Amino acid sequence: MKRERILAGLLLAALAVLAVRAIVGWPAHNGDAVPVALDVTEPFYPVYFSSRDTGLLEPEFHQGSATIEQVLADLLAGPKLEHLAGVIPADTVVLGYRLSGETLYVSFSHHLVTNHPGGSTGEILTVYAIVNSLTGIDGVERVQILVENQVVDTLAGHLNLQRALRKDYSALGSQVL
Amino acid sequence: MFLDLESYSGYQTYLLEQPARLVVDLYGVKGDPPPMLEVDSPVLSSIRASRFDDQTLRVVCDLKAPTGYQVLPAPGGGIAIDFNYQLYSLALEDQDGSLLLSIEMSAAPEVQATYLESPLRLVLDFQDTTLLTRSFDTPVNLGPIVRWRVGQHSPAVTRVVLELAEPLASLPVEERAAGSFVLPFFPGTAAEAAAYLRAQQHAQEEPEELGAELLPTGEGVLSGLVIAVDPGHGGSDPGTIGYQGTFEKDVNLAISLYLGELLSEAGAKVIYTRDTDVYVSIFQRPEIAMEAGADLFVSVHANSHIERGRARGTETLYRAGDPASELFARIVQEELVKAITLIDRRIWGREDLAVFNGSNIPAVLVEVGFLDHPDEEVLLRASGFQKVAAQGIFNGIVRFCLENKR
Ligand SMILES: [Zn+2]
Repeated sequence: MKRERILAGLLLAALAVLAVRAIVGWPAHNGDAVPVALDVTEPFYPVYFSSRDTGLLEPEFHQGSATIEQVLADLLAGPKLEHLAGVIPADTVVLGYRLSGETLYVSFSHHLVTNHPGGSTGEILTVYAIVNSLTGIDGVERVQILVENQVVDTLAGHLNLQRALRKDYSALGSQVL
Repeated sequence: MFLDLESYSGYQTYLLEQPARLVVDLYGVKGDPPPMLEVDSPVLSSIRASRFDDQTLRVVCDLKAPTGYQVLPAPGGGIAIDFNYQLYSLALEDQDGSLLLSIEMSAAPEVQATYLESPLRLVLDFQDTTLLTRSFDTPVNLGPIVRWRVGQHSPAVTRVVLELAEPLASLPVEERAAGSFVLPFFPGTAAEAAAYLRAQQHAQEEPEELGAELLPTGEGVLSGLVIAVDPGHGGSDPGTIGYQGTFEKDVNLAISLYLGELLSEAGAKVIYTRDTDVYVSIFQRPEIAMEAGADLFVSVHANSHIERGRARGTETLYRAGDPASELFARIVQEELVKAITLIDRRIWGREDLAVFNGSNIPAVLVEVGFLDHPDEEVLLRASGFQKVAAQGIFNGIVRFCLENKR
């Protein structure tokens, strides 16, 4: 349980950073309400995107209770904060998902592979934005990415996607923590 | 040529053709003419002196071809005559995708390069040179070169102007054969060319240092070792694709083949997971290595960020939780960055890379640079850079093997 405590600590630090940024006032993306004025007494959850400052993953916190459908929709919609960039290739849609025990299977359209720019860095960012965001949901420990409802060897030729993956915080920028 | 004269009252020079010769009449010079002198020079073949009249000594310099010259009365007496080098011919060539200027000249040219913008052009001034061909100004379509002009800019300078569509820099002149030289071009700015040259120098210095230390018996430093070289992607999987359309699979294969050559020369047995443009599954690759009894596994890749063009630099991934792989990665990253001088991003332990899963030998995956970054794509597609990268990885392998005492 020591790991959980450390993570909670990191999360609070991230919140502190967000709070400061909220005071400065961040321009909204598409004029949407930016969820930086987070009410920490109410439920909230992280969705991971690529930081334009660090090139690494960074969480964007959304108010509410995380559901699989909502987190997948958030990932596909992209970030609201301007310094973050989306991690899901263009035209990608979710074809379906199934929770089996603590393993969540999510099937994406082929665009996840065919529109991906590649590179081990690019692949790790996309895969762990998905995995880290979804494992933030209660009851989801592992995520297996499927493409067109099939188990795949890999997304871009580096990661082994034949199995379910656990969350990995090593792709997060230390600047965030 | 220096004429050592005690005293003279004046001189006159004439450059004559057929045969080419320079006549120097020296006034107010008395005494017997010195004997004829045979000269072994790129410009002169002989020097003769004779008495023209009782006041005038005539010196005739027989030239191999007509050329420019400068007469310089020396302050301490005597006259120095500087002959220009002779430029016989120039040609732009594309040799296996590398642009170069081939030069036929009487001696190694000294070239001063100036890069000018609007319009973009590269000016090459050949110092102390006489152009023996006709001047010309002609459009071409050779890589970034759209037009070139050649002419005698001043008595001592032959000027070549290359009009460009994209930046191009000149690299140092190399001698191919007697009187035959090439000036290679680098597809990029002068600063990028300088970085490339520095990288090449590193790569050349490194093995010498190691060689002296490693090869006391002259035996291959890596003999007895089996090394798996894994060029990432291939066949139907191009890997990432650069702005200019460079396929990662081609860059990976080129660097891997250069690396394999170096490893073989050092005595290692090299196992390629592919050595042509074919698809090989990432799960098959470690199997190929294990079946061949490999001692080390090196996967060669070029990187991309999810936001194209944002990131740059070199990183080396290794099998997480394996100290030997971590040390291997640390050393390879250090030597590669030293060689190619790109940004040193990180080494990164991963347990989720397929090529690390099927074996337990020290295994690394090298991301040489970012192919989705336009500057690094220019480097990654240049064969010179690919060789330097291979040399850097090779240096890392040698160092790891030494420090690990095999
Ligand atoms: Zn790759």
